[in-house]
Order: sequence, then structure tokens, then C-alpha cells
Amino acid sequence: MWTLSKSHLREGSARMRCFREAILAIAIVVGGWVGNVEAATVSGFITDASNGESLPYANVVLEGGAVPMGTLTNVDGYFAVQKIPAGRYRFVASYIGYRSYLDSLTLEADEVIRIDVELEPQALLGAEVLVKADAYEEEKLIQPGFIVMEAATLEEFPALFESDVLRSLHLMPGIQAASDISTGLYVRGGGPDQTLILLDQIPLYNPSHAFGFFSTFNSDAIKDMSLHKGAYPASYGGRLGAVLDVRNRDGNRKEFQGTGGISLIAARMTLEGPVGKGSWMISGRRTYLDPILAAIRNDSTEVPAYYFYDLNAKLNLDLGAHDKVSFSGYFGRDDLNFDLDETSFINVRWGNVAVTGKWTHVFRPGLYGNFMVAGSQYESDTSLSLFDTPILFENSIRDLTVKGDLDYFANPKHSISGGFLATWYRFRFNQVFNQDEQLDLKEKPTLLSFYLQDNWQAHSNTQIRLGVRSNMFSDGSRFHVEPRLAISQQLSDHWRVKTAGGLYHQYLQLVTTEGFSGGDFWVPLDETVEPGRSVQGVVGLEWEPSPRYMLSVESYLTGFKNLVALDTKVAVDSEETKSDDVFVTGGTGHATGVEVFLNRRTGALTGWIGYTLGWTRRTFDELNGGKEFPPKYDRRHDASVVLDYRVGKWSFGGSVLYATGQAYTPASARYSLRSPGSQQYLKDDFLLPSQKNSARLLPYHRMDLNVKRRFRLFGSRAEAYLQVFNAYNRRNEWFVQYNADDPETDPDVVKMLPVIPTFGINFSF
Amino acid sequence: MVCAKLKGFALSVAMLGSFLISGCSTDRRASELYGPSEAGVLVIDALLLVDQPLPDLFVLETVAPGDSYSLEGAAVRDAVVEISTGGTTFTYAADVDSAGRYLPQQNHIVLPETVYTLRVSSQGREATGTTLTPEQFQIRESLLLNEGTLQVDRVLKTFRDGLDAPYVAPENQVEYLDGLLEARFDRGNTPGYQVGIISLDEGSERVLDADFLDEDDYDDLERHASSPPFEAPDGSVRLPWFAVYFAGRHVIRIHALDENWFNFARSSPESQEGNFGGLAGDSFERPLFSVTGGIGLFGSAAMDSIGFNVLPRQ
Repeated sequence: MWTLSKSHLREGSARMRCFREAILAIAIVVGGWVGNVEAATVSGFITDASNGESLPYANVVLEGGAVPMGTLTNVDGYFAVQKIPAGRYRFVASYIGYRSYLDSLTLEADEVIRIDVELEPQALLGAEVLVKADAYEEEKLIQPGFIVMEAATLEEFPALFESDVLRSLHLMPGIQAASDISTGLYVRGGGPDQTLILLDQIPLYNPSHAFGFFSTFNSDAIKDMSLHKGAYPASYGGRLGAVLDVRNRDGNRKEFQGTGGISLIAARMTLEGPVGKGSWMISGRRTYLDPILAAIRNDSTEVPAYYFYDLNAKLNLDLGAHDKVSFSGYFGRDDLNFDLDETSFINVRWGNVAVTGKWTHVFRPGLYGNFMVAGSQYESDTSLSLFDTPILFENSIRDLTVKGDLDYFANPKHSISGGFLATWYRFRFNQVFNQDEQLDLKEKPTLLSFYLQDNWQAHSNTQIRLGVRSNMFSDGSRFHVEPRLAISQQLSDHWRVKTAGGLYHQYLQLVTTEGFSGGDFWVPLDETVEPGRSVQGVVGLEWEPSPRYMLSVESYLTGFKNLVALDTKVAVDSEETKSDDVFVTGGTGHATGVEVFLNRRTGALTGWIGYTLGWTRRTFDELNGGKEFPPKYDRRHDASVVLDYRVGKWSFGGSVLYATGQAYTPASARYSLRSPGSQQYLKDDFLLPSQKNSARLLPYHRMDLNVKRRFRLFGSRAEAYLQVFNAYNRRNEWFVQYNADDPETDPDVVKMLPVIPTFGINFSF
Repeated sequence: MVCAKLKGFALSVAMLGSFLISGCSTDRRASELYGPSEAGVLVIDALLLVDQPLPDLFVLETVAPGDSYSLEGAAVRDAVVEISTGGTTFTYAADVDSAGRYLPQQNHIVLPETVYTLRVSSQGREATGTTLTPEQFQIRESLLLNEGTLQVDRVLKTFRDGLDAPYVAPENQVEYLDGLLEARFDRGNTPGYQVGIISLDEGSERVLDADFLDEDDYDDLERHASSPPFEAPDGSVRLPWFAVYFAGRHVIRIHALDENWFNFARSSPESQEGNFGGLAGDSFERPLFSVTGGIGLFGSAAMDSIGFNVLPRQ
């Protein structure tokens, strides 16, 4: 079932031919355009003068011609303006938060000029005005439901022990958490498996530490993160809902520097600096819970041994004016060991490793490419012994990816991008009970994707992004074509309307236990089930009366098909490993809602108010008697208020969250049956479940506060902080526990986290 | 001006916080945590065993989730109960000494690969069920394996060697945690198996001793237990030591299940115990009952058993 047969080899050869032909086609089309240059071209990189980091979506304009010509840099900070008539121009490169660069150019016909610009960060204009660099401006203009956060912004939010990428996103409208201890993302009515999470373009399969308490993203190593909440463009694929793209810092090209911090549970350090014509960065974080737990542990007090760590490293080198290479790696692990007694223990280990090599090449001034080879590995091992009975669960995902992206700055109206992605997967799931191997699943599917999209400035006020993505997945010989469309129309100086939509497929399924993320694993869907499918549509209206304020209202609608859910009624030693045996299949669903977002972006007081009104539903023939039901994360109302106030060396932050209670399945009766194997009644009776998720927990709300003060520590910049999670100690409901041990027992409601004050210190040198 | 703005910020936060705090109590009445009551539904508990006489069966009813539960209180005493097969109907009568128990009024040995139909009626409620009994089943051998090498250390006596042989034979004296007990059989055409383990010696000493268990946990230990259902594709089953709590004589009953029993066992509330209620709400689902007009299990199995005597660890 899982061996590579001759038919697989024939299919593989056919796919490789298709792959080569597609690359050739892209090169011919693009090369044909390139060969038609008849006027001048100006190209180059825009970087931050203080550290050499690239500036994505910086604005480049050539003034002085009949019509101003310009473009935006791509995500690597590269720009190209082509087909410039000969003449004199004023070259302007600008980026919010930086001093603009101006230069005079005299261009001859067919002249090709390379200008690499370093922009100086803008000093504060005044004590009460703080202007922040606004990255990804282009993407925000055209794409509804698109969020960007820079690393510095992450530090501003009240947090639980440490700043965390995924927890920060929970403060945004349309994004929810399952509980206080979970970093899982529930975006616009979708589950955590429907969001693609990338770190420097590599998927991370279980990006969590401490059983879901923290994400694996070290905020010190991060440059920025962007989230498409839905209807994402053709350059991404493989998930039904959203895409979170986290990019690590490249490292300071100008000087050596370091940052670090100590919180109540972990210490972290980031070092970076120049090397030759490039930079390096290394960032590590480790908890020091293990020595604390060891100190508590004694003969009468059993506590587990636990630690986690993560390490990010990056090396960037310029090989010339047209070539750059970079190498990056991520290494992270969690390890729990609990000796219950002489014959019983629990050992859980999980972690990710990802390494990447990337080559960036400027083929011609208007043609820019990135090519990457990456490998990643996720492993989760759980071994137990209960009274000398060994139990073992092992699962792993290894993948090798080859990826290429081309950006062609065809002319001021068209920026064309295209690319390919080839991933070879190796999945393994092994289960052994009492030294008897019950399951050893191995799958080796491959995924091949191509995409092409055009960012078209159809009119001075109209931008259209038209794209298409095709996927070929080996399991089941799937081939899908996914159209994508985004349209943005500037109605007036202050009003803009945006819409986007697309078709999406998902070939991998996450099996997760919400209370314990260490056991999460991904499996590919094979030929026995159709891959999940979603059709998404988003419409949004934005009002920006000034640089300080922005109000947006967005409405979304997603239809799901071919959803799967883990079949919990499978026998423990079942050798049936086909998808239609392991999963309940054929599910459908929808998610719809309206989001309102009011953002104050500048000034001493910044923040936002967000509100979402949403519905999400699922239907499976084999669940709930075939009746439609809300998943537990269906939250009718979701609101957040986030404020940050800076005065002098102090900053004060607060956030208030409110959400409708999660759905749960209540009990509707008590009954008793004999245990069939022994044919005797147990001491406990049973609770009869009512309709699935037909009841609601109480509404969730909490307030977090933080206060920070900047100061000097041994001549270096430092910042001390005090944070209070759940400041008014509301014990929000987590789940209802029915205990049938005692006929008189009332149900328990297990609560989430109480008030937790934390403090720590960050420093940089 | 800075102080004024700071005061404004603090006042805003305080007002908002006060508003929220004022409604922040999360204490709830138990009645708020239940769904609409499904009290008064017939609960059928009937298990046929191939080559054995028609069994006693039980008719109970559900009780509201917030009410106190007892077998006595849930028993249905006035049901009309019949089991039919091949045109023959066997009637049942209520056991006057045990509320809810019904006794067959005719002799009949349950046949393999035969359809039986159950009908129960009481106070305007009617519940029915159908089962196709499995083929006959026999354990081929009972073994003690070396846990390091998985080689056979001993071949244990079975009930074919005598009714007391499994308990008194020297080779059947097994020290707690020593070796792996395994039963081997010819896997037939059945969807799955379930094991029942019963400690026969009431009052025998407890051999289970763990630092992480307290007296309340030990008080909850029962002298009988059922395994989850399993498919046993290779025709063998190993007994995990964590299923053994007491010293003394033990009987292991291996049931080759019909569809109804297998479906119930793989979805039963016993398998949900230990899960979070709402957190793993996805697994808090109705079992696969095999009764129409009520809930419960009308199933059948072919059964064979082995025995051994557990000795306390030296």
C-alpha cells in the first residue's frame, strides 16, 4: 500500500516533465517581455541604513516625465522601473518612518541604471507623535483581511510571561483562541489546521511550546509577520483558511548588536552583526523551569522534569550586485519526563527542525528571482509505562522542498510574479502497545504547485490582482486549479473598497487534542477521500480620514466541502489506515461574519477597537445524527480593545477581550448499562450526551495590563516590565466536567487561568 | 497635560474594568449545565452468548441528569419482554427479587449465526433490537511470554483441562508483573473482540500499588473490567498488567462480537471516561446504540475464557 510502484514512477516522470515544461513556459513568456526593452530601466535595493535590513514595499517614484512613473519594492526590498523614456528625472525613494532619498537622474534610451538606496530612519517628530514604519503597504492596499505586525509592535502588547506572536494575533478581530493556554489560531470560523504557518517560507507543523502555552516564534528573532485572514493570493496554497507568514531578521549589516531578556520562565539572547558583505543572526531561548522543578522534587513530592528551547540562525551573503545567498535554520524542542513510580512513567518529546538555503538572483533589472531548498522535520514521541506495560506513539513529518519565485516588473501597470513549489513528504505514525506493534503507517506523497499572478494597476484608482495556482498531489493523483482574484478601488482620497476571493484545497489533515498539543500530528489524505475544499469571498470598506485613524468594515463568507474529523470510534489496534477508515469524511460547512476595526495609529495613545459578528457551522452524516452543529469555536461576538500609551520613558498598555462562550455538548440524562466484557454493572452510571455543541459556556472576557520603563543598564538600553494577565481575575470557563462517580455529584466547570502577574527585563547592546 | 492624559487613560481603563468586573461571576447552578432532559427513555441491556442459555436481561429507564441515580430507582418493573428467532418467541418475566431484571421463561440455547429480535414495551413505550449472532469461538492456547524476548516461557492450562485447572495448575501461578500473558485463537469472521477480566476471590489482597494513587483511587478499583474493543488481526491478545488489581483467581473472557456489541464497545461511555468533558467535546458523543425506540445494547457474542492465579510480587 505504501511502496513506490511502477505506476508511481511513471506518474512521477510525467509530473517531472510537466514541471520542466512549466518552468520553460514561464521563462519564455517572461523572457519575451524582457527582450522588448526599448527605454531606460532603473532598479536596485532599498534597505535600512541603520542595520541593512531590506525594506519591503518601499515607494520608488521617478518625477519629471509626462506621467510620474513608479513602483514598490518587493518583499526583499528590490524594485525595477522599466520602459522609462529618455530624459531628466527626480528619483524619490520613500518609506514611512524613514527620511526620503532624492536624486537627479538623466537617462538615455536603453540605459540601465542600478541604484541601491539606504534610507535613514526618521527621528521622532515630537514627543507626542510616533510614526511607525508601515510595511507591506502595497499588500494592504489591495488585499482585504491582511494584517502586518512588526517585531517591535509585538513587544507593546500585554502578554503572558513573554511576548508571543500567536497570542498577539488573538487580539485582532476575526482571530480567536481556544483557551488561555492555547496558541492555536482560529481564524474567521476555521480551525487551527486550516491556517498555514510559515517561518521564512518553511511550514512549521506544530509551532508550540509548553503544550500550547507559547508559540515557537522568538519575538527577538522576528522581523515581521503577516497574516492573510482569508482569500489569500496565488503565491500561497495548501490550506482552506488563512496564511501566517513569519519572517526572521537578516541580521545587522552595519554593526554588532545584541538583545535579550529574562522573564519568569525563560531567558533569551539574540546576537547579530556584519560578516563580509552580509550579515548573521543567531537567537536562542530556553526555559529554566527544569532546575526550579528539580529543586522542588523530592521523595515525597513528585514533579515532572520539563524544558523547552528554540534556536534561530541566519547567514546572509552578497555574492555580487546580482546575487545573494542566505542560509537559515530553526531548531526547537520540548521534553517532558515524569516518573510516576518504579513501574510507571510518562515521557513526551516533540520539536521542529528546519533548514533553508536560498539564492536570490537579479536576472535582468526587471526580473528578480528567489530559489530555495529547504528541509524540515517535525517529530512527536510519547512513551508511557503503566505498571510495566509499555505504550509508545511516534509520529514524524519530514519534507524536502524546492521552491522558486520570479518577480517581473513588466511596466508601471503590471507586476507579474510566478513560481513553483515541489515538496516530497515522509509521514510516519507508529503505535506499539505492550510490545505489540499495532500500527506502522508510512506515507510518502509529493506535492507540486505552480502559480502565476499579475498585480495590475488597471487605473490610477483601481488595482487588480489576478492569479491562478495549480496543485498536483500524488496521493489520489489529485490535480486542482485554483483561481484567485483581488480588486481594490480607491473611491476618494479617504475611502477604499476591496474584495477578494478564491478556491482553495487542503491535502494534509491535522489530528489534534486541544488539551495537549504535544501529541498533534499531520497525516496526508489519500485516494479514499476527496481533499478539503473551500471557496472564500471577502468584501471590505476602508476609511482613512488621516494618517492617524483608519476604520474598516469587512464581510466574509467561506463555504467548506470534503471536511474530515477524526473518527474516535476506531478499534485501538485497527490496521485500517486508509483515510476513510481513520476519519469521518464528507463534511460540509460554512463560516460568515462581519468585522469592524477602528485603529488609531499615531500619537502617544495608539491602539484599536475590533469587533466581529460571526457564525460557523459543520455537517457530517455520521455526527450528531447528520444534523448541522456549531464547532466549539463558533463565537457569535468577539470584541477587543487594545491601547498603548507612551509618555517619556514609560509606556502603559491594556487590552480587554470579550467573546461569546464556546459551544459544548451538555448531558441530558443519566443511565446505566453493564460493562459488556464483564457483564457486570460498574459503580458509576453514565451521562447521555445531548445534541452536539448545543449549549454555551459563559461569555469569555478578561483584561490584561502592562507597564514598562526604559532605562540604562551598564550603558546599554534596557526595559523593565510588569504585566498582569487577567487583571480582575475572572475565572473564565474552560470546559464542563461531568462526574458520574457519585450519584449526587453536580457537574464541575473547569476554569481557565487566574490573575497572573509577571515581570521581566529586556535589554539591548 | 501629560498627567491629564494619563489620568484620562487610567480612568477609561478603570471604567471599562468596573463594568466588566460587575458582571464577572462565573458560578453556575448545576441545572444551567445540562441540556433538555431526556428522562424516561427505555434502556435495554441484553447480551446473548452463543452456545449458552438465553440470558437474563435488564430493562431500565433514563433519569434526568441532575437527579440522583440508582439502579433501583431506574428499574422498569412492568415491561413486556420477548425474544424471537425463526418464528419462535421466548417470553420473559420480571424478577421479583431484582428490580429491572427479567428472566427467560423457556429454555433455549443461543445458536450461532442466527438472527434474534428483541421487543420490549412498557407504559406506551416500545423498544426493539435485532442481532445476528457470530460463529463459534475458541481460544487455542494460553501462554506466558518472556517480556524481554517475547518467547514462550510457559503454556498455561485451560478449562479444557478441568474446571479448576486454570487456577490450581502450577504453570498457571503467575507472579504480578512477571511476564506477558497472551491468548491465541483463530481469528474468525467477526468485526472485533472485547475482553472481560474478573477477579474471583472477593477480599483477596490488592497487588496494585502506585505512588500516584491515593486511597480514594484504590476504593474505586473494581473486581471486574472490560477492555476496549480490538480487532486482533493476528489472532492474539496480550493482557496488560495495569488491568490486574488484586491477587487470587482471575478469569479472562474473550468475546468475539457481533456488529451491535462491537459498535457499542468502540463508542461506549467507558471509552470516554478520563476525557475532558467540553474540552474534548468532540469525543463526548452518543454511543452507537442498537435499540430503536430507546437506548442501550442488544448484542451477541461467542465467548471462551482462560484462567490463572495471580501471586503477589515477592
